[in-house]
Amino acid sequence: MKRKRALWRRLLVAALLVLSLAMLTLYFRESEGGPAHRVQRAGLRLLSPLQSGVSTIISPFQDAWNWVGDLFTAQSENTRLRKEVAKLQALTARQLKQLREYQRLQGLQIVMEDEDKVFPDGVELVPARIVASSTEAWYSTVTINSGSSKGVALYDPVVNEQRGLVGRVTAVSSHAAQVTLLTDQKSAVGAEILPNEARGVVVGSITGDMTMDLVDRSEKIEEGQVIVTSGASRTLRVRGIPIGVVDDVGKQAVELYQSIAVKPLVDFKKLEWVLVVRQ
Amino acid sequence: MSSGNDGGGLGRVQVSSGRRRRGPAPVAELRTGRDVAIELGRLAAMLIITILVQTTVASHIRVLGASSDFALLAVVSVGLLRGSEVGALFGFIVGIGVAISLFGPLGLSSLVLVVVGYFSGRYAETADVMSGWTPVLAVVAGTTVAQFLTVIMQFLLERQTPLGFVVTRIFLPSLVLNALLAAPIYLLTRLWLREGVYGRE
Repeated sequence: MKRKRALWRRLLVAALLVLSLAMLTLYFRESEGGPAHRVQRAGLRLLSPLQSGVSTIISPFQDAWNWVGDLFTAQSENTRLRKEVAKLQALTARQLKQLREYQRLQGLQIVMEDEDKVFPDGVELVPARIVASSTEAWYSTVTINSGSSKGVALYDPVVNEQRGLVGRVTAVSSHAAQVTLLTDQKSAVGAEILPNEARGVVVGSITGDMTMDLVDRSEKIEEGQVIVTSGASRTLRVRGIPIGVVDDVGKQAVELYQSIAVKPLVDFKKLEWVLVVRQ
Repeated sequence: MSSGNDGGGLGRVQVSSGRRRRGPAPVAELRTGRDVAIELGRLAAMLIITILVQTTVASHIRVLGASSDFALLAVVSVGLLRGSEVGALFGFIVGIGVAISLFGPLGLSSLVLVVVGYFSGRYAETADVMSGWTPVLAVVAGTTVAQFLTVIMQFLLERQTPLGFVVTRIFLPSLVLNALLAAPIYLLTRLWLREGVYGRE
């Protein structure tokens, strides 16, 4: 009896392991419309309303948790911000002087660009709430509560309220979608540095750091320059969505390209609402 | 009264004498269909709660960038309380649920959690599990095995990273966080599954 039970137990575990491996193989070998992906989308259709409900319920607790966390970092942030303010004041003074010089010489007015002009005519923004986030360091993905029923499609760019690029839609079901964040190590977005228009690719990493690779060595890049999408990617055709600023420039004598550390505009830890850009 | 100790089944009876055991409840010889239905209902509810907590709450509880793994904690607790078979099956379904909720690769979490659930159950079935440290030890071992398997699977899926980063920023913080949460989650699971409640009748 005992031996029979032990055999049954081993068979069950072996079957579950084989089933897991089979699902994994099928998942990676099939297309987006394959049976495993369809099952996943159907399952998410059932789970996403529950996730949405739980997310709403825990929202006040999440705010309280963030508030406590912020208290711990407030002191050091205060010191850092004071230094930054002093630096920015000096920078502002210098820039104002340059601006006056520019206006005098050119006789032109500086016009602030309307933020909405970042996106081409006809582009629609779909608001969505983040209802789940990946808990593994290996993946930087979030699940949002808008899906194909609201027009969200694969590879649509996703921005935050300040129009900073958050990531791209990498899976869609009727009422939910997966967004792969820029910090994911499989993320790669065509980008350009302004005002040089030096082109490259912004990639993520498991550490959460972002790097802009494949930037020509001859380009003179400086800290603080703004990086935006180039619109040259096959899957991301909108140009000019802000990504971040140049944080550090690495130039090796033997390398063909520069590798640039990118400081993102988006705080990926505090994302709550996002906008999907329907391309 | 029966006290067969041959693995974790769904029905349970209390052992006839001595201290109450903390390992998987033994299979009852005379269990009713209602008991089985109640047990399945509790496990199903726990399954859904685990998936929801893992996907909506866990990501907000971070230490040094690592999140608590409520799915693993629940699977270890169920394995300890209900044995290797239920533990493995519970791990398999939780893994699928988490993968569906997060659009993750189907089968990856399941593979890891089946192993964790099975060995947690085997630990409870074969070792002396009277100590209060049992859930903590099981979670520490479970986290180690899970992280090891995950690293191998991620390597095979071409997601590579420096070993030092994996150890210091993923493995150790997860281990500490999971170990801290092991006892409360185990106690909650034990209360929810009401170990031995029918046996006292």
